[in-house]
Amino acid sequence: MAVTEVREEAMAPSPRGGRILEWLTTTDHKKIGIMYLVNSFIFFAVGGILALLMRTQLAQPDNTFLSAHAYNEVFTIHGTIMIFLVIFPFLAGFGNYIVPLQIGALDMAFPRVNALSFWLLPVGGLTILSGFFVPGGAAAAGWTAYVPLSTQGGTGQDLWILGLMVVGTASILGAINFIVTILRMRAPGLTMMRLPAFTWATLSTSLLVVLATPVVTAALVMLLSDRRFGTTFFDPAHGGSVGYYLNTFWFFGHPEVYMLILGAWGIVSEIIPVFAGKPLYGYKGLVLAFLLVTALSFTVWAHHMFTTGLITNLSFFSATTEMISVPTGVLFFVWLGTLWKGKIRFEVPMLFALGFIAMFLIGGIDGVWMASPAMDYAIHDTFWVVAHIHYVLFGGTIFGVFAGIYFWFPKMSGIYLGDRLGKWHFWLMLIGFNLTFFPMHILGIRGMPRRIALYGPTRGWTFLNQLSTLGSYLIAISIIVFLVNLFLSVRKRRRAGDDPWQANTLEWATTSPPPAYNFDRLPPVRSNRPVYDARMKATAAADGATGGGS
Amino acid sequence: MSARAVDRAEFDARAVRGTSSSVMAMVLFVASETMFFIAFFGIYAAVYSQQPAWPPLKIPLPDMGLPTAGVIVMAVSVIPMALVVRSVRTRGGAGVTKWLVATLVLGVAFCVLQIAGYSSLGFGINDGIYASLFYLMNGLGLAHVIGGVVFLVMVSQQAAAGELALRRDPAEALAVYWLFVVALTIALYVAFFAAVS
Repeated sequence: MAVTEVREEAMAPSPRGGRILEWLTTTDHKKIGIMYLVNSFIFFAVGGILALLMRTQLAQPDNTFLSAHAYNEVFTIHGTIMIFLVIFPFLAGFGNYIVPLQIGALDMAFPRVNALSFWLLPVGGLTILSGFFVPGGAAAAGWTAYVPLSTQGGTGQDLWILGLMVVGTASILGAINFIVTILRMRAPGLTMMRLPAFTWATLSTSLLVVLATPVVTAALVMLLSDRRFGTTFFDPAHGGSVGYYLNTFWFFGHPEVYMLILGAWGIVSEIIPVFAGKPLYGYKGLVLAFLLVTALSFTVWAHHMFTTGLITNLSFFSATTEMISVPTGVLFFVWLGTLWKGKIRFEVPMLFALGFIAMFLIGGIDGVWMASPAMDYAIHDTFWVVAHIHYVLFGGTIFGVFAGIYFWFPKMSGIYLGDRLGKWHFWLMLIGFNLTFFPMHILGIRGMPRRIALYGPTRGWTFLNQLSTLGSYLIAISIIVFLVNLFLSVRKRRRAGDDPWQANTLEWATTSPPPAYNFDRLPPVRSNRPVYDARMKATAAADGATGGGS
Repeated sequence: MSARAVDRAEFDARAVRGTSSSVMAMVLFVASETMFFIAFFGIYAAVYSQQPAWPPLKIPLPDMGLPTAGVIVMAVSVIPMALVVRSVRTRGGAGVTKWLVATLVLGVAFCVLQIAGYSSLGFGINDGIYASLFYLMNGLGLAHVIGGVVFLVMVSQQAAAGELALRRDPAEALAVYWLFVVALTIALYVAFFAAVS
C-alpha cells in the first residue's frame, strides 16, 4: 500500500533570512548532501593543485621549484585532504542525498546531527590547511604521520592532529546516522535483501567507520599527548614503542581504504544494470561480498608493516590479504555478469563506470602482488605504492564519483549534464590518469622511492617522470572541461524527467529534483527494482488499453 | 476515515515499532567508544606483559582506598539507573526523577573521589609508559563519566518537565551510556589497581 506523507508547513517552517541562511541552517538531507559534494569538490581542487605542484617539482631532475621541506608539506597535505576531505566526503555526500531516497524515507534519522556532521568537515579541513600559515609550516610527516617524524614537527603538526580528530568525529556521527536510517526507516516491503547496492555499500562503510575510526582517534590522542603533555607512548627510550603507533594507525588505516572504495562499488553497481538494461547479476553475491570485505578488512592491517621487522607472522597477514581479494573478485563477476549480453548504452555515467572497472582492476591486482611479503620487500615505499593507491582511489573511487555525478545530477537538479563535453571529460581524464600513474609502476620497480623532492639526472627516471607530469596536467584540463560542462548545462537547462535513465531504484520514483519531503507516494516494493516493476506495470496497463500494443 | 489518514497512521506505526532510533544510535556510539578504549587497552596489555612488576619498580604503589571507594560507588549506581529504566518502561515515568537524582549523586561522588585520589599520586604524567597509560586512560575515563553526569542532568531536566511520561527513549539511551561508563570504570580499576603485583 502506498504511503502518503504530506509534511505540514508547521513541521518544516521556512526560515526567515533568505536563501543563504536557509542553506546554512538546513537539516534537509538533500541540501546537506549537495553541500557535502560542493565542499568535497572545493577540497578536491585544493588537493589537485598540491598534486600539480608535486608533479611540477618532479618534472626535472634536481629541480628547484619547491624546497625539500615545502615538498614534504605538499605531499602530506595532498594525501590528507584527498583521503579525509575529498574521497570519503564525496561518498558521504552521495549517501546523504541518495540513501534516504533509495529507502523511501523522508530524511535521515537525525537531521540535526546530520547537519553537524557536515559542518564539522570544513572546520577540520581548514584547521589542517591553516598549518600553512603558522611558523614552521604545515604538517610534513606524510598522511600516515609516522613517529618519530610526527612527534618532531611544529604547530602545523598539532593543527593536523586536531583537524583530523574533528573530521573523524564528524564521520563517526555520520556513520551512526546512516546505520540507524537504513535499519529503521525503510519503506514497507523494502526488506534488507531488497536494499539497493549503493545503500548496502553505505551501510557497510558506516559499520567500518563506527568500529575503525575511533581507533585512529585514540592514536591521534596519544600522538598529541606525546607531543604536548610529556607522555611516552611512542618513545622507545621511555618504555613506549613506535609499533604502538603503527598498529593503532593501520588497524584503522586498512579498513579506511575500504571506507574509501565501498561507496564507489555501490555507485557502479547501481549504474551498470541501468545502462546494460539487465538486473544486477548475482545480487546476493554482491551483498555477501560487501559484508565479507567489511569483516576481513579488520584482519589485514599488518601488511602495511611487513618491512618494519615488527610483524612475526608475515604469512598470516599475507594470507588474509590474499583472501580479501576473493570477495572483491566476486564483485568483478557481478559487474561482468551484468554486462554480459546486455543492451549497453554508452552514456557518460556508464563510460565512467566502465573506466572504473578497468582502472580498479589494475589497482586491485597491484594490491594482490603487494600482499606477498617477498614482493613487498622489493617495492615497499617506492613509487609502485603510489601507483597502486591511485589506481584504487583515483582510477577507482574518483571515476566512480564522477559516474555518480553524471548519473544523479539530473535527479538533483532536474537537468542533464552535457553529453559531448562529458565524453571529452571522460576520455581526457582516462588518458591523463593512465599517463600520470602507469609510469609510476615502472619507476617503482626501477627503485625510485616515494616522497622524495629531488632525483639525479643519471638515474634514468627523468622521462617517465615527465610523462607522469604531462598526464597530471591532462587530468587538470579534464576537470576544467567538467566545470565548463557544469556551467553550460546549468545555463542551457536541458530538462531531465523524473526517471531519465529508465532506472530501478526508489530515488527515480519521485520528481527531479525531489520535493522537501521526498515522496508524494511510493510505488509498492516487491523486489530490489521497484521503479522497474512500476514501469513494467504501467507499460502493461497501456498495452492492455490499446489492445496489446501491437 | 479518509484513505490518507489510514496511510498516515500506518506510517506512524512503522516509525515507532521496535527499538527507538536514539537507543540504537546510542548502542552504536557506545560500540565506537569501546573501540576507542580498546586501542588503549591493547597498548596497556602489550606494556603489562613486558614489565616484571606492575606498576613498574620506580613507580610508587598507588593508594587503594579512594579508587576502591570510587569503583564501588559507580557499581552501585547501576541500581538506581535500572530503576529509572523500569520506571519509564512500566510506570509511565512515575518516580523517575528520584532515581535519576540518586544516580547523579553517585556519579558526582565518583568524580570527586577520583579527583581526590589523583592528588595523592606519587608520580607525574611524564614518568614513563606506565604514567602515560595511567594518566591518559583514567583521565579519558573520568571525562566520559563527566559526560555521563551532564547527560544525567539533561535527562533529569526532561523528567522535571514531564517529558519522560510521554517518551522513554531519552532515559533508555542514558542507561545504555551509563552502563558503558560503569563497565569502563571497573575495567580501569582492574587494570591499574586490582592488577597490582
